[in-house]
Amino acid sequence: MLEVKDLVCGYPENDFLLKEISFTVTQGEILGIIGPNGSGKTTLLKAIGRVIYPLKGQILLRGKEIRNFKYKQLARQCAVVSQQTGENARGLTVREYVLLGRIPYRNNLRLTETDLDLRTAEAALESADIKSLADRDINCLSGGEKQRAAIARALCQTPALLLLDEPTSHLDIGHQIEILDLLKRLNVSGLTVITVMHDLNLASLYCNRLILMDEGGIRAIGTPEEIISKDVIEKTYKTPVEIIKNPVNLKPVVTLVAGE
Amino acid sequence: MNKRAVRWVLWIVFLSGILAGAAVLSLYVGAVNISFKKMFSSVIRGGTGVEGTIFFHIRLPRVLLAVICGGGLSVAGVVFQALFRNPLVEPYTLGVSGGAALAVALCIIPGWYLILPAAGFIGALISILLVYLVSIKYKRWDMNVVLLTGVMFSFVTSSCIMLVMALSRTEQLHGIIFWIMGSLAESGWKIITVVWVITMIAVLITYFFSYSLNAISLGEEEALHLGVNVELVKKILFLLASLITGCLVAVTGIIGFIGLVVPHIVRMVVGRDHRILLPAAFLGGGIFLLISDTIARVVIAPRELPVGVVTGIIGGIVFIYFLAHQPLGQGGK
Repeated sequence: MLEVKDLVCGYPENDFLLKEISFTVTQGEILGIIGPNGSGKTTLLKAIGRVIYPLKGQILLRGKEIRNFKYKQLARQCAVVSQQTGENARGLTVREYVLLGRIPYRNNLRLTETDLDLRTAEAALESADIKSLADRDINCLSGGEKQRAAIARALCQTPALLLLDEPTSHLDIGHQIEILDLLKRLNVSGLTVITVMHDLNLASLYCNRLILMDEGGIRAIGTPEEIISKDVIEKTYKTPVEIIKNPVNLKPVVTLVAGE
Repeated sequence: MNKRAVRWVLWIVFLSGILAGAAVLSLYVGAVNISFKKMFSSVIRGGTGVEGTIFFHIRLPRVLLAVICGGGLSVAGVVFQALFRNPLVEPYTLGVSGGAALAVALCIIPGWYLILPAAGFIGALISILLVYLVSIKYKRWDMNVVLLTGVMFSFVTSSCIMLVMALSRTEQLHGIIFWIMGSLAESGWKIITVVWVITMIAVLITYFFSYSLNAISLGEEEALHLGVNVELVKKILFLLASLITGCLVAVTGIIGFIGLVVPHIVRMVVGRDHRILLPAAFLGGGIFLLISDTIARVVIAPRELPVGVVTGIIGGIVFIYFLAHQPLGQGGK
């Protein structure tokens, strides 16, 4: 579905570049991008979302280079929930906010929403389980609810690919699981998900595959069992860890070891 | 959702009604007392007699200019505030008015009074282009750079105007100050037609970007993810709003406060969706300036107050009132 080939991109003026990154994402998977701070996770996500353009290499979405997509076309294929999503939204109800996700489908000359727009928005509210909040002011939501609203807005774009940047940061464990369960459900119904993850254990629990990034390059790609090993994690994060198995599903769990 | 469309239509009808009422009132009152009957019969007969002259050559042009000027500046204010996501930005922030005022001041010194509107317009255009060209050299067109460039440019022009004023004679000084205070008087039909055509075209084009403005209000990156060609849209809207401002400033001088206050008040009343916000701001701005100008004309008739004084006082008070009565949760950050 998505193919990244020899991608070099970043901020040459700040001397930060991704180093010839290549990987593919297959339809229907949840791919997690993990790595230490400053390893290039968000930069990679921005390149896929076409916020920054590649200096070299290609990004193909369904076989077509993303730089050749028209703006609206790309927004219909690929939705993004960044860490800033919803920050500037003010004075809108949740429903109005979610309806903004229909902008890529709007004709500039048509002033009112079509029935399809309205139905899609209701369905998105339902999938994100925030129908009861639809008439509330977006600023009066809690962190977890706001994140759901942002995901609902992304769903309203009816994308094939959803990109998220640390969707569970600042949330408590209950809400972390709630958001990731939601992503899992959406994934089961056909959505391909690429998400930057901060928390290694959540990444291990929910992602089919992981990309471990370090210093602008890919250190390893594979299943959580392959990536989350004492050796690799210690080397990348430069801190001692012990890996144990989750007693319920046998996924690897990282436990931290305090320094002396 | 249909309820919302109905509410929007009702707002437009309501505001249009008030605007029409204010226009009739403004046409009726003035320094010369004319009975409604006399005025009406003269207008029906095509503007004969003194009443007709007052109606067609003094009051009607003035009303039309007030409506387009108030409406245009408010729309420009809405656009600038959305583009910069900054509630303090107004049409004059970026030095458009400063450039116009400097050009006008330079023309008043040699006494070229007839070309003042043209000079103002050219001054405004030059300042837009300068701000644009200085800020564009960055790869992405950073609105913060634009804002700072504009504000600095504005300081430079106002210093230059002070210099011109310091070197000028008393009657020239009077002319410059009078122009800077802004006035809706003394405009011919030709100029008013030109101003209406340019402003209305720019306002209508702006309206087709309602969705893009809604998206950009969320942030540029988010607008991009919603399929908006952000870099292009920003440039088009910046130039359109600057064009509106420049063409109005050239004719009326600097009438302050409308482009800052009206967008805020209208936003509090009708909401933040630009599909309703833009037309409501246009009508609201027209109403506001029309009423302000009528007050300015009649309180100390036959003399006049500078209209900017009235817009400032009324606008400030109305704004504070609305701010104090704003429902919780919508307050500014």
